[in-house]
Amino acid sequence: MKYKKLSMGLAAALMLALPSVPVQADDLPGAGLTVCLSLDKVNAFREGELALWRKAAEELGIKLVEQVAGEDAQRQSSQVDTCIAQGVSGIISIPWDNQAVLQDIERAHAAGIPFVTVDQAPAELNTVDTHIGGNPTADGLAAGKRLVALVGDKPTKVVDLQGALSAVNGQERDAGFKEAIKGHANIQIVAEVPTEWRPEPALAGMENALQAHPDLGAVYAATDGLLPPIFSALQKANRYAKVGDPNHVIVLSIDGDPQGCKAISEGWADAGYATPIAEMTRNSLQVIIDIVKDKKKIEEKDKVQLLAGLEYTKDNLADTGSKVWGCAK
Amino acid sequence: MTQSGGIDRAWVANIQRYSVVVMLVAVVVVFASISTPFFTASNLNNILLQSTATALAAIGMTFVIVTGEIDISIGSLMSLAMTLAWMFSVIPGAEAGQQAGVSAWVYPVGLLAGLALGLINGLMIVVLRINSFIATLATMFAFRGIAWKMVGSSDKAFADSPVLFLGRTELFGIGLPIYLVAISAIAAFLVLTRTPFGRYLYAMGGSPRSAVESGLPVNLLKVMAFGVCGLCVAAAGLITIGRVGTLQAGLGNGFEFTVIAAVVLGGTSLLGGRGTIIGSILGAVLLVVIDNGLNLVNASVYIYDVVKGAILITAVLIDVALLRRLGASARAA
Repeated sequence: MKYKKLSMGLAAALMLALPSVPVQADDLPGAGLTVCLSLDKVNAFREGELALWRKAAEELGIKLVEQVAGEDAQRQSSQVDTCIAQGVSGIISIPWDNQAVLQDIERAHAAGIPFVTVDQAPAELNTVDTHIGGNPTADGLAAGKRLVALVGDKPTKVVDLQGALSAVNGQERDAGFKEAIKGHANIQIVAEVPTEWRPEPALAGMENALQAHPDLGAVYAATDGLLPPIFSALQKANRYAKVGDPNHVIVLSIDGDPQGCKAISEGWADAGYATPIAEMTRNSLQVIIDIVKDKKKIEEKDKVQLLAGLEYTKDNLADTGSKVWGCAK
Repeated sequence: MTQSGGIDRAWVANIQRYSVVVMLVAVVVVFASISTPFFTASNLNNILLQSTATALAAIGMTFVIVTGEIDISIGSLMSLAMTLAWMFSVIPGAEAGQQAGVSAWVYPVGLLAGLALGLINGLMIVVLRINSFIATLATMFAFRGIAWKMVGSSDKAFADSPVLFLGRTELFGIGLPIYLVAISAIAAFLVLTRTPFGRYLYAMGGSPRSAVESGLPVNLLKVMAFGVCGLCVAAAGLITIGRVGTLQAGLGNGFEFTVIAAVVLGGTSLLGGRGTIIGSILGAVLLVVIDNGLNLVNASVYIYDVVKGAILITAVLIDVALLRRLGASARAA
């Protein structure tokens, strides 16, 4: 027994002493694959997604060809055509226009190239090999339920800062939130602001709402990108106070980006909903590997993967922080 | 006939000149009657503050449009100018954790960048002899692309930074940006109406051929007009990031259309030769009043752009009708 322990210790010491054998690039699951990544636009959220895509691609041995459409469906189509002409192994797209992308999917399939959409679903889900996205309705529902729990029976006026009216994510985050507060007569949405995901309209909307309702109780924001204007307007109205302060206005927002993480950890916001983008980006690359290299047929149940966001608050940040992409150092 | 025609023409000309005032009053009356908090001193102050960025950019755009040119790059110009300002004023080591410490250099660098980018637009138009719509369409893409390339697309949030000073400071209960717009408006009004430079700009827009034949330095004037526009847009950008508290990759997206709408609502002709600074500012205020009023009555989110579009079309139709009336009256006289 004594010798067995000794030999195991020696073996472990030898393993540590020996230089680790590097994984050959050719041995990686995605070796030899080139994947076209067609992004609709660039912003902080996309920047976070892109960084995770690059990380996952490196780990899987996949070469990425990155394209950004600049919020232009025509441009995105042209970029997809370029990728098809390059003979890429697969295309992953965040479509700017959920109708226009249907033609892109058709052309890619005609060329024998698998097509995966991420984050924003195409108008017809059965056209795409796989769609992987967050679950905006579930995120909105969770935010709404959190608000209901926080306010109890207290009459509460809410500002609803929506995303883009043309974006499914924005619409469903809003619909989920409204569904959760439905039936709670004490919670009243006093202003709905179509922000187009931009901070300037959010600031104006918040200022206007605070003019009419200085006793505002809560703000629901469809994206963390709207947090700076929310805090700016609250400061101006002398309502900028941390969670627990009687003057505090409840703030709930979605994304889990660095601003969201900071607002939660410092106590300016009550709860955030972190989109699981590490999982989304890696899964999308894995689907391409499965189809192209492993010749797998994607089962119907896996064709649409909607991953609900993770609720994080100051109280649970020690446990959840590592899973919130914006909290990563 | 001459006298009555003259009175009629003067009356029609005044209505045409001040049609934006008529529309503004009408919209204010409507909102004041359906929303209690709308017509309060604090909300009116709020409206003026929210109008400042658009109004300042509209002042600059008026200089360009009265010459018969247009600048559709201003949204991207604002983004690039503010990106450059951020890059050159960020305090080293302060970027970590998304809390960008920024020094007061943000102001001079931002303004200089705006001026330089405006001058680049003007030089492209006169040196390369490119139509201003096409030239600024090109720079609209290029400026935005350069801004993204320089700093990526992550948000730059400002906390306790001098950049917040302009956006959030009040003097006698009135926001600093309102004073800035008022001073800029007076200066621009004097330049356009009391200096040869201003009169030449109107002359160029009214009749480009005559301006050339009479020996006006049209190329220099155009470059200067675009420079003024760039400077004003940069100032508008400083107000915006100071008020919002963040610099995002999408800063200024679609801003050009809001500003051009404000200028057109204010009675400036896209053909050049006609337009006023006060009209452009009132056009900017009118657009904000619509948003503010709809916010206060919690209107459907789908109605905002419909209302703005309808008011813009109404303004253009009134303008066209009054100009026809003026033309007919002149012919009759």
